[in-house]
Amino acid sequence: MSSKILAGRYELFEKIGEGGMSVVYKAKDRLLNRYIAIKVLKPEFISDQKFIESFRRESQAAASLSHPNIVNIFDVGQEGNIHYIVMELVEGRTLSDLIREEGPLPYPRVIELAKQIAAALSVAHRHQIIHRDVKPHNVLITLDGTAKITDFGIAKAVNSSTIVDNTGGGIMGSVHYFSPEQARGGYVDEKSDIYSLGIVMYEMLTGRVPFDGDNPVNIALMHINSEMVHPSKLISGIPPALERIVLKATDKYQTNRFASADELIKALDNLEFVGNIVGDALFLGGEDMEPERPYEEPIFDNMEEDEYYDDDDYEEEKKPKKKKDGNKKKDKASSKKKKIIMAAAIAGVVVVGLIVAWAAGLFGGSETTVPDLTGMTFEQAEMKAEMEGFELEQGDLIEDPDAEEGTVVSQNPRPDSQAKKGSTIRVNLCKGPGSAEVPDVTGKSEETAKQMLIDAGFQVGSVDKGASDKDEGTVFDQSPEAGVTVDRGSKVDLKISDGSQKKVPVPYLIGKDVDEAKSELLKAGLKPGETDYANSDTYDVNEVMKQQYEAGTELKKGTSVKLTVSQGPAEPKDINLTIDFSRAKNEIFFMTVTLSDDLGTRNVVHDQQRSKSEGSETLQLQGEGTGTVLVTFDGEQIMQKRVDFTKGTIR
Amino acid sequence: MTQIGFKSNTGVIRNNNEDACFVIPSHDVYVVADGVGGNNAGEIASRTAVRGIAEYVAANPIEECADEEAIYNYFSQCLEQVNDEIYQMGRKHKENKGMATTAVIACVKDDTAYIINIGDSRAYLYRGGRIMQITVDHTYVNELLKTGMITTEEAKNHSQKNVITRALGAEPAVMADFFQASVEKGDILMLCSDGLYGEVPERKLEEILDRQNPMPETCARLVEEAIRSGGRDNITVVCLKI
Repeated sequence: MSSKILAGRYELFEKIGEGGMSVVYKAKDRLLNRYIAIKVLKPEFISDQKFIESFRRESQAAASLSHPNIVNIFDVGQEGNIHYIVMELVEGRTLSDLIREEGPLPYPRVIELAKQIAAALSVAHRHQIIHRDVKPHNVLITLDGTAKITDFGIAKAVNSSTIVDNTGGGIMGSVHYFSPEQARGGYVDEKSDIYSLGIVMYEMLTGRVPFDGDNPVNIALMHINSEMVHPSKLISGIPPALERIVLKATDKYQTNRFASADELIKALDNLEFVGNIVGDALFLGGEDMEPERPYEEPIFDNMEEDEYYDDDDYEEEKKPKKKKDGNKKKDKASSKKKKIIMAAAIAGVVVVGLIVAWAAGLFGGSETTVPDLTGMTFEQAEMKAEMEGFELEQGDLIEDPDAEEGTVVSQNPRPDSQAKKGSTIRVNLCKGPGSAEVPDVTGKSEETAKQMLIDAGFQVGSVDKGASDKDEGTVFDQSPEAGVTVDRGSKVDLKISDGSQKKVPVPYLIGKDVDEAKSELLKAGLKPGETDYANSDTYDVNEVMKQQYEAGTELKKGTSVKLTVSQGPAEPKDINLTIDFSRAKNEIFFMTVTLSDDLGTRNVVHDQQRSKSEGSETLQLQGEGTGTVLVTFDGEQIMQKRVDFTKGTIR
Repeated sequence: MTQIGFKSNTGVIRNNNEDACFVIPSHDVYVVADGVGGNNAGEIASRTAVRGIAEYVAANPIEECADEEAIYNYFSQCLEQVNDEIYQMGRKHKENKGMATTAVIACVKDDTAYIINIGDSRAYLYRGGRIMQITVDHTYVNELLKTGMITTEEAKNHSQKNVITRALGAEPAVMADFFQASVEKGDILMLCSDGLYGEVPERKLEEILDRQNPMPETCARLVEEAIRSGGRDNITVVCLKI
C-alpha cells in the first residue's frame, strides 16, 4: 500500500495504527495539501453488505460532529473494495499508551482528561450519537495533552461473525469497558458511554481496570454482578469526592448514573472549583478539619454532609460504627443535594464569598494569600514559599516557549488565592521551549500565515515581496520549510507573492459529471480537451475518472485538459458449466475445476468431495477474456472446454 | 451400510465459502468446519482443519480404539495437532493473522455416535420426526444465557450473537466438547454450520428430513431452503442415515 492513492487525492504513507476492524495510515490530501489520517476497513468486513452500510452511516453521522475533543472526520468514501474514513491526523499517543507508560496518573490530570472526554461525549449525545466503545485505545492524547476521542458509533456496525480475540486487538477487546447493559445485550444509551468513561477514569486513577479475567464472559459477568475495589484502596491520595464520581458513573443501574455527560462535567468542575480555593488540603486533610466542624455547620451543612466530607475512611475512625449504614442512605440522597450546591455555586459571587469565608473559618484564621511563584526557578520559588509559610512540591514538566527552562510556568493553588498556611503549593516547571513542526503557510494570506505561525509557537521572521505565480499578497515561500521540526519560538521567514507570474490551478474534476467538469474548466480559465471513455467499477456512467493534469496543477490560461470519462463497469459475461457426475468411478470422489483465462489460472473448485448420486452440478464461471476450463475427478481429467467471457460462450 | 449426503454452498451474500466439509465413509468419520478470518484466511483455516483431520484418521486407524476413552484420547490428540498447525500458520503469515475455525466431528461406531465439537457448528440427531441438538454452542451469548444472566429473548437480539468463544487455531491450546449418543437404524445424524440453522427453523429442518429422500438429495434440499430464507452465510451440511 506504500504508494496507493485513493479517490485521486489521498496519498497513503505508512501504517500508524491498527484496530479490530481497520488499519490507519498517515496520508496526504493532495487537493488541500495537508496531512491526514485514513482509516481503511479491513478486508474481512467488506463482504458483509449490512456491515458496510452501517459503517458508512455511522461514520457519516460522526462526521457531523465538530469539537476540539473529537477527532474530526473529513470524508467517508469507497474506492472499489476499499472503504475508508478520512480523519484529522493527530500527533501524539493513545490514552492506553499514556496509562501504560505513566499510570496511575495524578488525579488533577485525570479530572482534566475526564472532563475533555465527557465534553466530547456531550456533543455526540446531543446529536443522538452513542459512542458504544469508549476505551483508552479510542482516546488520543495530542502532544499538548489534549484528549481527542475517535471511532464514534462504529462499534454498532459490527455484525460479522468473529471470534473472541484475547490479544485485545479484536472487536471484543473492549469488554473491559462494557457497561452491564452492553454485556447483557440490553438497551444501550448515553449512560452506557458514561459507564465506560467511569471505567476509563478508574483505570487512569489506578493504572488498572476494575474487572479483569481470563475470558470475556467472566469479565462481562463481573460488570453485571461484581462490586469494584474502590480506587482509594489501591492508590492513596485520591479525593473521596472524585472516587464517588467514578462510582456513580459506573453504577450497575443506568438510572443511578449521571443523567448526562454534562452532569458529569459539572460534578468534576465543582470538584476542581473547591479544590482551587482551598487546595489539596481539602482532599488530603480530613483529620485536620474534624475539630473545626462546629464552626461551619450552621452554614455548610449540606456540602459537608454529602459531597466533600462524606468520607468513610476518616469517619469510621472518629464515629461509632453504626454510622456506616447511615452513609449508604446519604449517598443516594447526595445527588439531589449536590445539584443544589452546584446551582448555588454557579449563582456567583455571594456563594463564592461564603465558601471563602467558610474556608477561612475552617482553617481557624491561619489562611493566607498564596504567593505568585511564576517565572521563578524552583529554588527561588521554594525560598519564597517558605517565607510565606508554604511547602513546595514539583509538579509536571511542561513545554513552554514563553518561559525560561526550569522556571515555574503555573501553580496550584493559583497566585493570590487563599490557602492554609503550611499547605503545599504544586508548581509546574518549564522543560524548555519544546520543538514543533513548522506549519505549511504557503498559499495563505500574509495575515493568516503570521497568525498560524504564532499559534504554532513560532515567531515571524523577515517578510519580503517577490515575483511569483501565486495570488498577490499570499505566501509563496517560507523558511524553514513546512514539516521541519525546530525549536518553538524560532523565526520563520516569509516571501509574499506580487502575483506577477500567476497561473491558474486545475480544478478537481474526478467523480464529477462530464458536462459539469467541462464548464468548471472554462470557468477556471482552461479549455476542455479530448474526452476518452473507459470502463470503471468505481465511477458511474459519465463521471470523470481521470484528468490529464492533477487537480491543483498550475497551468497557463487557456491550456486544454483531456478527460477520461467512465462508461460504467465492463461487463464480462458469466458462463454456466454443467458437470455430469456419471463418469465418476467412486460414489464419493474428489473434484477439481481449474479455470485459466486472462486473469490467470485458478481452481474454481479445489479437491472437494462430491457424491455421484447427486447426478450433476452447475457452476457459474466468472472471468475475463478467453481461456480453458478443466474438470478432474479423483485426479483424472474428464472434461476440457474453451470459454470466452467476452461473448459468454463455452465449447 | 450408512447412507451419506453432504453439500456446501457459498450462499447469496458472501463472496467466498469459508465452510468446509469432509466425509471418510471407510472409517465412519465426518467433519464440518466454518472458518473465521480476513482475506481468505477463514477459508484456509477450515480447509486446513478438515484436511488435517482426514490425514490423521488415514494415518491412525480409529478401529483400534477399544472403548470411549480411547476414542476421546484419539480425537483429543488429533485436534491438538490440527490446532497447532492452524495456530502456527496464523502466527507465521501476517495475512492469516487471527484465523481459526469451528469444527464438529461425528464418528459412528456400532450403535454409538461420538460427537466432538469446538465453536458454533452443530450436530443434530433426527429420530421419529423430531430433531435434537447434541452439541452446545461455544458462543459468548450462549454462555451468558447458560449463566441465566440474559433471557432467550435477549440472546436472540444480542449484538454479539456471532462471537464464538472457542475455535481451532485461535489459541495455543484447545478444548473440545465430547458427546455420545446411541443411534438406531433409521436415525439421521446431521452436522451443519450456522448458515443452515441460523436461517432455517427447526420445524422446517424436521419437515425436510421427514421426506425419506436419499441423503444427497436431502442435503441439497436443506441448502436450498437456507438460501431461500436469505442465505446470508455460507451453508454446509452433512447427513448420515444409520
